[in-house]
Amino acid sequence: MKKIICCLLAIAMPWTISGCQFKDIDKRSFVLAIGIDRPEDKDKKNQFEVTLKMAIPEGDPTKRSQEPVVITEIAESVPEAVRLAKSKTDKELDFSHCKAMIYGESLARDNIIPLVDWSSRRRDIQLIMFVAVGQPTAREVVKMQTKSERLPGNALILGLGKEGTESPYIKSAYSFDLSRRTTEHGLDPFMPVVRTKHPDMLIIDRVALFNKQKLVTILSPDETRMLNLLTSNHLRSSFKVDAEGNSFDYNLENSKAKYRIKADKEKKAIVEYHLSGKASLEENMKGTPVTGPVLRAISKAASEKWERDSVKLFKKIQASGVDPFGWGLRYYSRNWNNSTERQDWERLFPGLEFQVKADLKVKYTGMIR
Amino acid sequence: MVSSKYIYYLFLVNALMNIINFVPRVLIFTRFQGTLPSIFISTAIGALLLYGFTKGIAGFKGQGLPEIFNANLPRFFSFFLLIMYACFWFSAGIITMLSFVDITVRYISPDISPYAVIIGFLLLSAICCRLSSESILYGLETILFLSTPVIIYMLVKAFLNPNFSWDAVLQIVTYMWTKPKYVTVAGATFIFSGFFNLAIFNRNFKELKTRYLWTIPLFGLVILLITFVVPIGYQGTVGVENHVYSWFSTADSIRMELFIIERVLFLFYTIYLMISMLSTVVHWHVGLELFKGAFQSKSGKLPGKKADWWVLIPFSIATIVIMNFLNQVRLGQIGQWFLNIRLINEFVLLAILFYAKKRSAKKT
Amino acid sequence: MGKKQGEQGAAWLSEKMSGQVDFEQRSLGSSDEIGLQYLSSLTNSDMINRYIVIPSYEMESLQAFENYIASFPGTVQAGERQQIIEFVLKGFVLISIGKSGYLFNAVKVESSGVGEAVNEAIVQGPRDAFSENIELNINLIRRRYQSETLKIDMLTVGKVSRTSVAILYDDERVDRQVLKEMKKRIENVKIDILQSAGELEKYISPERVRIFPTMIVTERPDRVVFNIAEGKVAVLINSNGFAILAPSIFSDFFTAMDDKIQVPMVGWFLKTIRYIGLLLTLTLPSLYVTFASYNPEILKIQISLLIAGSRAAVPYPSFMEVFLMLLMMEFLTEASLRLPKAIGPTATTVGGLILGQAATQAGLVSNIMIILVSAVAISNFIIPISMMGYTIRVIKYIMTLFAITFGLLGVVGSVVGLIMYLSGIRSFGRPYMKMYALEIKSKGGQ
Repeated sequence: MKKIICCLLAIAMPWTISGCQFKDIDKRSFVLAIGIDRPEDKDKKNQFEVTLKMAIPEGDPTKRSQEPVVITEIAESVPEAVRLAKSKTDKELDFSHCKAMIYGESLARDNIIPLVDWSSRRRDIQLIMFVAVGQPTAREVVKMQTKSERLPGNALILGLGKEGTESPYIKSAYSFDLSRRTTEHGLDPFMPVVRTKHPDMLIIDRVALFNKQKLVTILSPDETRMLNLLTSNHLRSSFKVDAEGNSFDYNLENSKAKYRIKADKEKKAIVEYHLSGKASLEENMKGTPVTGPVLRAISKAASEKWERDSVKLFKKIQASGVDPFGWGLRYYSRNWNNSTERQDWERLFPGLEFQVKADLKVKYTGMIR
Repeated sequence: MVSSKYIYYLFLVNALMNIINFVPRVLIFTRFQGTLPSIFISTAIGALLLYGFTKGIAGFKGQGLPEIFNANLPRFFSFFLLIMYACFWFSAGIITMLSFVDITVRYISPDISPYAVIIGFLLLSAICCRLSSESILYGLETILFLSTPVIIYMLVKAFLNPNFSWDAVLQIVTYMWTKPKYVTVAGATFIFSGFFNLAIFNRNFKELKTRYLWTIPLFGLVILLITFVVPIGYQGTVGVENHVYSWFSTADSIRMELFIIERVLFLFYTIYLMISMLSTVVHWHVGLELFKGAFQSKSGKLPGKKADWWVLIPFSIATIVIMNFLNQVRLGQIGQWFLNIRLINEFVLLAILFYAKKRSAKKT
Repeated sequence: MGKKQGEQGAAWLSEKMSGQVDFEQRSLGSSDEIGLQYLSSLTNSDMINRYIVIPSYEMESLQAFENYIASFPGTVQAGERQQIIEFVLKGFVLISIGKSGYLFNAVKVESSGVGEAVNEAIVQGPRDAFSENIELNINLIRRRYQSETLKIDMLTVGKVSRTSVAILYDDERVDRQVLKEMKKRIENVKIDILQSAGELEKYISPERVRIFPTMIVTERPDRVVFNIAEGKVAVLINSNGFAILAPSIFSDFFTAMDDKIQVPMVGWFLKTIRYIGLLLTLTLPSLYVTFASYNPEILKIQISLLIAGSRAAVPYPSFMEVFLMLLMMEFLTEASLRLPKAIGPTATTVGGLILGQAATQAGLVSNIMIILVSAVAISNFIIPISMMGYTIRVIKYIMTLFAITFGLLGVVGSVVGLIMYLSGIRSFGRPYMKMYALEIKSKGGQ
């Protein structure tokens, strides 16, 4: 009996200390997406405009009545703006479910470092949050309410991730990846670009390349797809190719990209890419029968097109002076002269040469010949 | 009496637990200045300590450190040593606890007062460490049985993730030929010190069957490399230093798309909470038994069960007091100091053990 | 031996039993030289009439009658006084012929017959349950365990009730330590009345705060036989249809007799399911409190919003909700247990359907809570042995308390604490929870 009383006392003791820091789930409003801009107002050029999109728990969860609440605040710093936003809601702001952070283009062209720091420093903001650049402003993107979404911000989240659509034009980026790329030597950040299209559409088909601090260039959709092809395996996409005086569309079912860097002692280094893939035919413009030789011709033409396109992309990226592929890191990791490798690479980078060997095989003609 | 497989659990719990705080911190801190060679050196040192200690203590069948010391060393000397080692083991537990309180407050419950968390921890450890050694071993087995599959799942998930950067890892590997550092070696050998818990648990083994002992340095090396490499693969060679709890940040960087919990962080937290609680219980149990062993009477009688509280309550209060004046940075420093002293201390313990062995051989 | 004591015994017995209502004394024969003494409630009067009274008048001499009585199987010569009283209390008739005494077996078997197992129902496999009669029960076990190594030791417990207690074990496989301990503990029981196995279990368990049963109380002869073969000790009690099995460890409580009958894979599956059920019933309420009040970030956003949405109308904190509904569920279980069979289903309908439905619609309880409570209840019922089921029901509340205080830390901490606690328990010196316990046991049994 004595023991039981002791146990109960022991349980009760921390209870009194912990008190009632009990915050029920229905007393919190979950921030699902954050957008951060530079204010349009010229006087506040160095301040931040923070837009929060929140889900407020409501009665029946099965009905599609989850109207999002969007709050915009301007302040000297992001935490300050969040604090101001807090006084606008009746519920506690909870960032722990924030799944997307949108950097306004104006801000991205200026400096993203303080925000990367803020988002990885806060304990409740996930490191697996998606990051993106918003066009024209982050506020527009965050505010956009698409028809298909049941959960506030879900369209954005699904679009940036891979569970929903699997578009080859989307190169998703996580927060931890962004923060790693801002510090890593020989690896530079990138983010997908989200554009709004009125009345209710979000378009994600470009990628923005950064040097360590700010946006340097935005790639076109085709370049984005090429980047995706070059950086990830198993990309699924369809491409168009002209061969044999005909125009074909093929669907890439499997792809693989490998590269190595061949550097000699002098001032030259070659990045050798090897691309391979398997595809099936999807459309045949003229409807001529596709035979074995034709398939081979298509494969050859498509491979050559890949080679041309990728070299063009490499040249563009090289000219902008950023390294989203991590060639630098690859070079460092294969060289043991740790003290001098970085100077070496800086010297080598502007003169990098590219050799791409594409090996695409269009193997199937589809259901008909 | 229990079978010999429990030795490996003692090793495993320590090796798994180290991941939470100090060991990865020191490994990552010196990643450009000799972590890799230190890892290999410390595997060798760890294997040496391990082999020496098991060989040494296997000579005393079914005896713990208190019995060995009290029988073979001058009384005053053994009393002093036992108290010292007891404090040492207690502080190992305290450091684990404080780290985890910090982690809990930081990641899981910022709303709960750290005092409530520490009291919860202390209650659990203080109550559980009074169980018999045998029971603790059984509990150890059950919890490890439950948690290792999840750990393996998380590791597989971590390595298969396309965001894991092998280039960053290889970049670190190119720093292989650097001079090893004492701090790093001291940190890395901590993995192997689970074995020293045999100081008390040896009482429960009829004989130490050490047929598979060679697997332990192997496992230790793999665990050390994983400890070191995975955060780098996720946070980058440079960025990894920015994270206070690099493994927790790493766990937060992994995502489970198809589960009701999306963030691996929480799975990781849960499993490591279990393991670190267990490790605290084991450390405190050893500490408690050593302390009681110091007060062993001439006839070999140990103080009764009631006396436990006279040891546990002061240590619990000490824990709270220590927590009071520590901040994150100081905790890190103290942890590092603990690791540094620990390595020397283990060698000293080994030396004393062999001295005692010689004495006992002379007696008979 | 016998002659003199028989006469003295008769006098002593009549003195001892003088106040008893059902104690009968009869004198037979032409000159009352034959005396009968018995307890009418325990004896079969038909047998007395047919085998004693009528022949006594037909026999030519007293000697012939004595020989006749002695020739019955089961008849014993009266010996010590203690023996006489024990036998008479069992339903024997003390026959004093001249100076000698005989104990004649005229036990009335109030056989309720062998019924079907109700508490531990089973899909396939033997259906018999123990009856209320110890002879019959031993008979049931003997029939299933036809080995000469099966030993039975009889003891008597209870100053007043004098309940016979049988200890059954396999002489070759039994753990001597356990057997000795068990005998010692039963002999040390100092009570007046013993009526059920559960009671005895309570008295022979070590005294301390204890929440987990360390002995199985079962009504299935096949389980007893199976356990005896594993080297355990079984205790049977007269007038109660349950047996005690010791030592019993944690995993024994999760073994249903079905597991042996099923295909091995299915058996494993069922076992796994039970442990999953255990985990769910223990942690669901506490996890709900954690997720709803401390760490909504753990779950996916969709689930979090679902919980939040369904809780939006609920006017009190999550732990109140949990406790309220859990208590209602306990009431429901208890009520439907005690009610007569005819009203039982009504209680379930009123409680389960109407209350659950109305409570959510009124906004007193969230939908998810109702699902959770039912899940908790159902997974609790999976546990095959009800004693363990009751224990788990209690533990669940303790875990919820910890969750309220510490959140996720409390849940994980209490799981660790529970595992350590279980590892610390010993059942007759055998570790209560230990991995691979079964494997070791089968080795140890040989």
